[in-house]
Amino acid sequence: MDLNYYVCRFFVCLLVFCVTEVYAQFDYAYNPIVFTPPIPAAFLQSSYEKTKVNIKQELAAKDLNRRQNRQFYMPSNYELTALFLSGDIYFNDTLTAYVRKVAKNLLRYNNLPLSYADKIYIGKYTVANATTWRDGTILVNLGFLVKLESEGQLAFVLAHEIAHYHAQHHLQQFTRKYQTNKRWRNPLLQKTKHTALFTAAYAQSHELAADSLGALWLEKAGYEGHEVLGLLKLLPTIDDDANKLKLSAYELLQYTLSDSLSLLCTINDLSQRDITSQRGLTKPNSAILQNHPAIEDRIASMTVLLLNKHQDIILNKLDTVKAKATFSYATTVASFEMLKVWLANAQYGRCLYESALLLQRYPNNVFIHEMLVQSAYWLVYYKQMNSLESVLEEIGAFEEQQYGLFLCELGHLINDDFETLVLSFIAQYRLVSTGSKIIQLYYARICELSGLNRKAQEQYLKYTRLFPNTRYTAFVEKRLWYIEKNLTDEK
Amino acid sequence: MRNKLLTVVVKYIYVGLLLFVVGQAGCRGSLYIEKSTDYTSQAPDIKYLVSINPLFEIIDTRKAIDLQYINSENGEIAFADLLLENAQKKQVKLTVIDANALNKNDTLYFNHLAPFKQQIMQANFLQHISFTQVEMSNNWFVDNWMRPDSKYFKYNPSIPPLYSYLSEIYGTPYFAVQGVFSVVEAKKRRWLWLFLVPPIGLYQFIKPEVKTYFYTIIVNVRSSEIIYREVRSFNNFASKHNLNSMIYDSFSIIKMSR
Repeated sequence: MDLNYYVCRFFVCLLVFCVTEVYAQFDYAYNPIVFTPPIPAAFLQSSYEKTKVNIKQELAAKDLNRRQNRQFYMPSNYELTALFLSGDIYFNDTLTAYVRKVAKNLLRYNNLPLSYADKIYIGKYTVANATTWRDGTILVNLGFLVKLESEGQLAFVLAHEIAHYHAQHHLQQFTRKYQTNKRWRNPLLQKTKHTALFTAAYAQSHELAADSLGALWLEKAGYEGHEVLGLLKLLPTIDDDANKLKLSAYELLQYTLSDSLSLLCTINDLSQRDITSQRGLTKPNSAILQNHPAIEDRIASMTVLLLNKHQDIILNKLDTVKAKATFSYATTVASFEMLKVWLANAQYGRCLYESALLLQRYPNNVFIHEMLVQSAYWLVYYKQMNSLESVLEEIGAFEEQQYGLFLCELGHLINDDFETLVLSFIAQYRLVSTGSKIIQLYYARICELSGLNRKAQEQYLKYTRLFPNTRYTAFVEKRLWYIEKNLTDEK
Repeated sequence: MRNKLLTVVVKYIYVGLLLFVVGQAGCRGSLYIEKSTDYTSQAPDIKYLVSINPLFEIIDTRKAIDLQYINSENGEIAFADLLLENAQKKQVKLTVIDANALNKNDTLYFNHLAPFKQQIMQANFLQHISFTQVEMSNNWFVDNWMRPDSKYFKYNPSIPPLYSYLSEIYGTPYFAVQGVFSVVEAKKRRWLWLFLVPPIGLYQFIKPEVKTYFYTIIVNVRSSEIIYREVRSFNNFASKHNLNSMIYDSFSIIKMSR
């Protein structure tokens, strides 16, 4: 009895420790995802090889001849190969493993081939979207993953995409398009317009079919049916900024001018005016030309389906606590990865904003500090290059959102003595994150960019002293050589 | 006297017309080069260059949307071979990192080279001027008299210093991004050629409108700066013969210290 009691207590303690360890691991640092070997075979195959394999496996319909099969697979495979080799698709990482695990769970309880899950990948794209390719490859964008609210929603996204492939919607669209092209061969009959209309109308019915099938699979796998409605309601606002807190660019960059308060009031007025003056220009296209049906129609169709659900559905009992924890872990990793993506895409304003948001959760995380420092540095750099408009997003696209206000403030800050401001900003983070190579390096760089050659030299030398033989050493040596040359020329 | 003058005029009209047709039928093109101010001192050092996954893309807009890119993958290997041959002729050791020929454990490409290439293209596009904004000319007078500074970067486009250590892995600080991009379109008003100059115009009637671009961007990873970039264009197919002379000339200029 006593032994059982102690064993139970031990396991409870171990569980508590593991959970706290999972969350605490982001408090001070984050190790970005690194590609590890072996590279998946799909990445190493050319589009010809992929097509050959696809046709050999008879994934395409038997109704198509060999030439049509090639036409069906080849373009999709060509684009996929380019995507795989772009370095924007993760493999052998925690995020892909998690998403595949969710997919496998879904497939297992629906008696579907588990091999479908092996073709699911995560892409480093900020747009909230997931796509199915003709060979069954499914790409879930990182930008979609961070916006989802539960594992059930992720499972529905996967179920929806798998349903497209399982029901061969691509093939049906291809056959339809092929027949339409044949029928409207005369160029005077505006072939393209007819094809577009035919395909779009057809795609809408496919979306509804994938929704229904996905919802059915979701319930069989043990997820709640309302997850479907939750996701569909989320979709129209998924690209919006979910942040409701006002995040001030002034406060972030610690603006210290004496008249900052009065300036802030003016800026707030200005930003509101700027935002309202730059209202969105794009209007939604005609409903018939859209390949997805209206959200209202999808919600209505799902509500009917969920009300009339079959009673004989075998439910899997999900461990909801565990599912919540793993989902939360995966989305946190995705949030950190997103910062890297914003930075790599040269969206420095966005990177600064998203880093500042994440900083509220993890104020001592060095990775976030590095992202803040790098994005601030590149903003100064682009200001000096006179091409800031190419890296800052249009405020009009984010009207009435906190990000729009943040961008507006940032824009006004940039017009002032931005170099000095960022210099002191990076200097502060250098004191907080003393062990960071990147912050020390960017401090030296901002000194150099501000024309403080002596100070920059001092900081580069400090870098070599503190961090000998790092991946930046060759760069630092070269910068020191340039500064030395400049100083000699000045003399 | 009058008849003689008329004969000469008629004769020259024919010669003029013939020259016009030949000029139109021939290959026209342009060249734009921009480099860092200290390139003259660096050019002799470019003995070893690493070319990251050269791009070869042909878009045939005459075909259905799905099938426009299909010929591109075939040409990639031939393009890489041409680069190697011409680099050898100009005594440049060239290593072509071909993403289609990676082995199972070659994750260096995904961790560093692919994002590095992305950063080069981005810096090239966002900083100072981009190829799309470049007013390309092949006019000696315009280049040398009207804008003598246009050959040099005002500021060297900069990339993040994250990749400077690649110089130790590959034994050279010089990395290149090269590519060929070709667009084939159906010729507009081609019937006009057939009616205007029937025998010679037949070639113009059959031949589609082609625009081919060849570009090279060279980066010094130690200083994390773009030091050289060029873009050439010509109105012909991206065939082996057309590209060969262009690539040879490109390597000659890369090695030139002026």
